[in-house]
Amino acid sequence: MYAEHLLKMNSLVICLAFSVVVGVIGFVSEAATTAYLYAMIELLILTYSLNLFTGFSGYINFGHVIFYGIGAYVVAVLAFNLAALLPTFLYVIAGAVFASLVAIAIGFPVLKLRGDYFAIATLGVNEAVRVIIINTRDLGESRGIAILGYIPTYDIRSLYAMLLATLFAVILITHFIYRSRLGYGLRAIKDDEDVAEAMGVDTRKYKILSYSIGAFFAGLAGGVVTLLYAYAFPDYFVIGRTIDMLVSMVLGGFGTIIGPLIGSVVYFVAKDALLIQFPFYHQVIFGIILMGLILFIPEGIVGLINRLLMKKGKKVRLE
Amino acid sequence: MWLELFAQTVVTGVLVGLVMALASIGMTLIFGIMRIFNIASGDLVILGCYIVFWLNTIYSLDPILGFPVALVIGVVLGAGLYYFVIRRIARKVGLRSLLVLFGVSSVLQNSMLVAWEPLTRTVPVFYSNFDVGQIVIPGNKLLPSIVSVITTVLLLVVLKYTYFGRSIRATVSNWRAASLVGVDVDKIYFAGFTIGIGLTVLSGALVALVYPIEPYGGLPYTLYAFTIVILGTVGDPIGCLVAGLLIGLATSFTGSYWTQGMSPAVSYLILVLTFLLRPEGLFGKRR
Amino acid sequence: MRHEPILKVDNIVKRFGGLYALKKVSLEVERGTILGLIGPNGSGKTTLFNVITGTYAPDAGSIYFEGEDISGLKPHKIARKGIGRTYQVVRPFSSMTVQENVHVSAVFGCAENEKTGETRDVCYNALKMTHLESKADTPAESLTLGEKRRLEIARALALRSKLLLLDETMAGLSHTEVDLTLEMIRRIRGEVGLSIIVVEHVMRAIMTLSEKVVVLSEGEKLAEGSPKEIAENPMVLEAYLGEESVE
Repeated sequence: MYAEHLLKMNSLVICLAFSVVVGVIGFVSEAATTAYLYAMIELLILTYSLNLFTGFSGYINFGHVIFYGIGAYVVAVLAFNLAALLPTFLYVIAGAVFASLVAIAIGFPVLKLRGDYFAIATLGVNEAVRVIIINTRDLGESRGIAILGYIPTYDIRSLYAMLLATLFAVILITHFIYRSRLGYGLRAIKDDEDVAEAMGVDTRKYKILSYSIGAFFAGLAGGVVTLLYAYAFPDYFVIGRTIDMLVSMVLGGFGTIIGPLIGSVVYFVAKDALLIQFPFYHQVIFGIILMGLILFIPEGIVGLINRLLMKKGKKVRLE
Repeated sequence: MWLELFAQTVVTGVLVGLVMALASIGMTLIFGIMRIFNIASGDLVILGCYIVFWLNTIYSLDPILGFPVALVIGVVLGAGLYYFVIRRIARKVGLRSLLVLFGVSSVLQNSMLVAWEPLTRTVPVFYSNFDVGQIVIPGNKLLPSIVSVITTVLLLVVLKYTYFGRSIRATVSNWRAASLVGVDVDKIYFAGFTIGIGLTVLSGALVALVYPIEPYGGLPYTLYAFTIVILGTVGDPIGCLVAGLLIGLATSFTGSYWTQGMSPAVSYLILVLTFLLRPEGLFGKRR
Repeated sequence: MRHEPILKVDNIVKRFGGLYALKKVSLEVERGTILGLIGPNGSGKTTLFNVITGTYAPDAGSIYFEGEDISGLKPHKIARKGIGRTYQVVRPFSSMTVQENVHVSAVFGCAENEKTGETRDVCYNALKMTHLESKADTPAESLTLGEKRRLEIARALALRSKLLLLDETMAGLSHTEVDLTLEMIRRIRGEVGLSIIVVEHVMRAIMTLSEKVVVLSEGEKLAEGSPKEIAENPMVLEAYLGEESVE
């Protein structure tokens, strides 16, 4: 009974409500809880940003984490060189903008590729960026860039607020794109790219557009985390984060509005619990879970719920 | 002096390239038959490395004897993977295979990390070097490349002259037509996948003599293999050999004349250029 | 009223590696007529469609649509200019309903629709003309083969195409379904003033439907003429020796 009421409510409302609740809890709690929620919200943002491209268009992007790292490094470089000349949040925005510009630059050639080829090429791009950074002195090589003292330190609550704002933004954008022409075209591309093109969809433009919008939000998250640790280093580009994002997205449900939320929360809580129980095995377990999901429940939790709804003859669909 | 450095670089490049080629042959075989990219390739290579390492460390087994062990383990592993995982997604449209193999890659990497710790290992066995004038031909690179060449030639012979080999080529070319002519496509899928994985793990055993080993080191190997497969045209083993040599030379020259660290970046650059300029590979048909 | 043909294919050459799929193929489609395109399997019919719609760029030659050179343009631009197509193997958008499928072309494929805000009407008309309006909210995947074929036509109609390329729309349909489809195509042509190129193996359909027939064989134009002329042409019969489904 409650469930039906819940479903009738817009997915958007649920997500926003959730964000508000988490936000409030984060503000009033002690630092440890806030830190926990910070990490969870960061995962949420990353998953939503990946969902904007991979979820909507069906193109698997194994290298999404580079935009997170680029956002981080831009903030670090700006802080290092300009210190407190400009308000720090501008650095964060600059990082995100730069990340989306890089996405456009990469997208132009790489999005000419289809399916598998594109996915592996993104792996290559990820590695290439990491290797280049490790070998560039000005970018701190493998030590990274420390910016302690260059800019005022922020306590976790203000950064938490920044992150929350980003979360709100990405949820809203997801909702709008889902209902917009862009989202519609992306869904057609996901179903059958050739036919979509033959029906008038400018596939190149839409793919690049969603790729760079996703990059923007990942970049924001990266910028904020640099402020948190006052440090940017190559580990931001590690594939482990990609697994986090991918599993969360697949678990929740590709290309939906509420999917990334459900998936990320479940994944985050489970991962944290497993981390304590099996400090080393948890990654192995999640690899197996990913395989299991793809083989048996590729449509994720949202897909499962929708299937159940259809079986019961309900017309409502969870988005 | 200049000439020597150049010649030395070429020698190293050729040898390393031949070893790289073997892993790519596994990948190209699997892709040619089943249209699945083995994204876990690099991690299987690392597994091969560890097999040789542990056999040597614990049982003092000469690495050469470790090669066939690695091959067998690879084949068994491939069979298991096929039966439990791949069978369900072969021939299905979509990118599920990629994600599943990504999961396999993650499981492999982290299992090795847990089992064998994140230390960097090397196999402390040295084979004698040959000197040709001022150029040193390192035994540790010569031996693996010889094994690689022999294995590749064997594979090519099988592909060309046996019924089994011809069935594989037919399936690569057009699986529907092949099944109409009486080829048991499911068996070919199974055989092709198993052999491909076996070859990949074997190439890891070879690599153990050349490069250091660590659990997360698989990704560069996957990308090298991918570059070689694309450059040499998907589904073409001879193309892999040629492309392998080219990539080997490219990384060797980068190492000699620039810095070793940038070799991966150079090969990724080659990958991107291949996609942009000649996506069908060196030997492919233009679309 | 212009008298030039709506489509002019001029010496198109298309190679795949060493193989020639199309060797200097030329043809013309008069406005408002139905052209039948026949030929044995592998003669290049679908390749020609793909070249016209922009999926492949020709290696040589040009394509003129309403007097404008469209060779080498991207598929979505060609769709917007007014060329629609169906596929040999049906390809509906599987995650969408019938209505949503048609909506895609209506929204993206036609600049006119956007300007006049008539998208909804265009969709409804397309569904009506293909007898699918009762199935508007059904998932596209669950339709029968015949219905899916009609959906493909509806999608092309929503583009407000002036030229429609039908690729083996009647393959696998029963005798009655073929008759119904024939009647539907004729009616659509009459109502909308469409020009159509039909590729078919069902000879009965082509011969009754087309005003002109072009025969392709091994990438070359073998013959051209009225259905009667083609049916009596010995070269055509020879090209088809060994081919089934000559009803």
